[in-house]
Amino acid sequence: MAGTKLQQMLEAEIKSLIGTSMGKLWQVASTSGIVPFVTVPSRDLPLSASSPRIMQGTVFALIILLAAWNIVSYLGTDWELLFSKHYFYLPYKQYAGNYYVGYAQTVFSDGDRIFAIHKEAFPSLNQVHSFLDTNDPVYDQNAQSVDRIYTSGFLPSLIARLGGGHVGLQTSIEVINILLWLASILLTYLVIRAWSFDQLTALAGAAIATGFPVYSLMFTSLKTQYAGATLFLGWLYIDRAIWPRLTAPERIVLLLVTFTVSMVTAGAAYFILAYITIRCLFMAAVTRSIRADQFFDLFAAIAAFVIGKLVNDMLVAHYHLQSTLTQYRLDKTVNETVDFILAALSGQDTAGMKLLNFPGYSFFTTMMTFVGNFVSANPVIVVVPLLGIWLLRQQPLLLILVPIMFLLGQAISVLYGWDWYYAYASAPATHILIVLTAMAASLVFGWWRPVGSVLAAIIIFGAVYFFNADPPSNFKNYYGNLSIYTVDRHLYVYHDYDMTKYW
Amino acid sequence: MSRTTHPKVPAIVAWGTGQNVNLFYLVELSCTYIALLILIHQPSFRFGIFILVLFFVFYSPNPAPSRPAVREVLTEGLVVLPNTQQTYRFLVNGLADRQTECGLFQHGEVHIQGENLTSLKLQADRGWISQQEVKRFYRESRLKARLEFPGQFPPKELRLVLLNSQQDQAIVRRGAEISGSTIYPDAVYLVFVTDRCVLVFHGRNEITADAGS
Repeated sequence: MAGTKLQQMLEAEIKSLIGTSMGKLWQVASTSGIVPFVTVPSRDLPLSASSPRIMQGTVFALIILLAAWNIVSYLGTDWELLFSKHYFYLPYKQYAGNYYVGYAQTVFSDGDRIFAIHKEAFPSLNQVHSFLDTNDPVYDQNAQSVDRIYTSGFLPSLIARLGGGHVGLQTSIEVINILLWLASILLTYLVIRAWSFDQLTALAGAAIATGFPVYSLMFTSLKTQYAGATLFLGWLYIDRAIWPRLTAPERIVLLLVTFTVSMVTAGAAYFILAYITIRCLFMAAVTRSIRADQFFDLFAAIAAFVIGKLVNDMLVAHYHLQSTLTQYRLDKTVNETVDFILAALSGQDTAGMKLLNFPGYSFFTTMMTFVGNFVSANPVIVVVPLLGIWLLRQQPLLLILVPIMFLLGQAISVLYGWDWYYAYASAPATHILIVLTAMAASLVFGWWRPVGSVLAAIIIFGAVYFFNADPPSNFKNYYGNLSIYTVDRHLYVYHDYDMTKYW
Repeated sequence: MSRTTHPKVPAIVAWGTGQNVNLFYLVELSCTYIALLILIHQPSFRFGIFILVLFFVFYSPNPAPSRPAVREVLTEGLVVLPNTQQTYRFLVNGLADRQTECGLFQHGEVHIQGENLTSLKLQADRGWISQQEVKRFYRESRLKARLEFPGQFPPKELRLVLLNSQQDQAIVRRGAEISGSTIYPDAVYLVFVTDRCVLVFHGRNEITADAGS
């Protein structure tokens, strides 16, 4: 039975390689209206053939367990405040004068309770408060909070409304954090299903996504920086599963409203536009018959992006707000980079010049460090898609997107000229890698039974392990992976008779 | 989309009647609503979303949940005037309690953050202070000193005296270090490190603590 199945699969693969044209092959991965998602046949893998309900139930139970583990491990600690605490002697100029107690110099009270809030996080409370105002309010002019006001201000205001005034501002943002985490798990499942993989593969992907620490470390954060990646993941699903069935006017309107809100959702608009651009160019390059559709999509996306930005700029101007992006001179960075490249090519001295806002060639060394941090967070989800690239060859779009989304995520470092690694900047690339890892495990299972089934299980559990085994290491890795974070030994903090053990 | 009310109607009505004139909010809500209408086709879900949007447009809790009140702003440092001293009391019984788990705490470090800390001289009632050094960090400075205990066992309590023996004033940085209902505002703390553990102790200025109590 198993042998016959394998033989059928091999035949199908050979046919797809030899007997069909390249255009046909890529059409399977098409996201245009020509091949709607619903008509793409699901891969009938042996993984789903053997006791599917038991296996699906087991993986679902694993997801529940992992969710519980993450809640227990991360909830209750403000990791963002902790990472900037004086125990770690942050050697960054941004923290000069603020680094004692973790970038907070105000004691707040809420009834009997007194507490501190990370300086960059407090404006989010003001934004939620302003969104609750039915008159024309004043919004907080903190530039960083403006760039993510949709998820750290608008959405929490809906939660506060649903709570009838009994849910606090801080709690409403924390509820959004939890909801976005759950959304990322569900979306991982849906994306894998939308890419025509079976339910078990989708559940396995969701299990890996459950432990993605960029969400769990932010449970009590008020900044929702990761939300750009969540919206991008949502768009991956929409583009594949819903886009094909939409009419042209619906597509245009959807793009307009998406770009308007995602412009103020931690860079989501840029991730989504980059994805649509890559998808359209790629599909247009490999499939002549849908080229016109792809160029229409690309044109509509760029136009909607521009209009969305204009609408957003007008809103922001109306409320006298300023985006962080306006504080940085992209044209200056481009000019400096062009000068650097010209000087380097003509053999001139580049000392004192900047390449992509980094002095000399330090852009490359910084990016290499970032790649190191990215890989060390979960080597399995990087190594498996890389080693399984042949198995994943029918997912070229996703494979291409990984490095592009990684670099786009780090663009903020280029704009700022920072050598500081924030894991949420890599989150869009990580989401794709999670999806690819689950797909690779599923394909490994199908190719080399029974060895494949063991290998697939090792891959999934390996990916789950690296995300969940050591929360303190995640904390270290996701905030720069610096040696100052001594997570290799227990940390006890004493205040007279009170003691807190962090790990 | 065509069989339901135009998605912008609730927002326009709210704006027109003056029920809700928060433009930013209405734009974000309308965009979200339109996106959901395009993505979701089931009539029951669409109706449910419509009702929710109506609720979100016209309802806002009154009074709105309040922002936390500012209890203390600690941006100014604690000034240690020339020829004066500040005493900090540390409860360090954790050193003995954690010895089995963490190993012997033979010595630790005193850390102080602030400005012009070179004028400070440290003294400990139950320990030896040595290797006092100050490193500048932008306009800040960080004072680090070695703290050793004379006996075999660490004490349960320690008093650290910061004596300004020079003519310039020193400033100890302040911040919102909090435990329960107590603020530990001064950036004066002890750190003990072994192969297995890091222990951080926050002390309280005796004058401030007395005044507070």
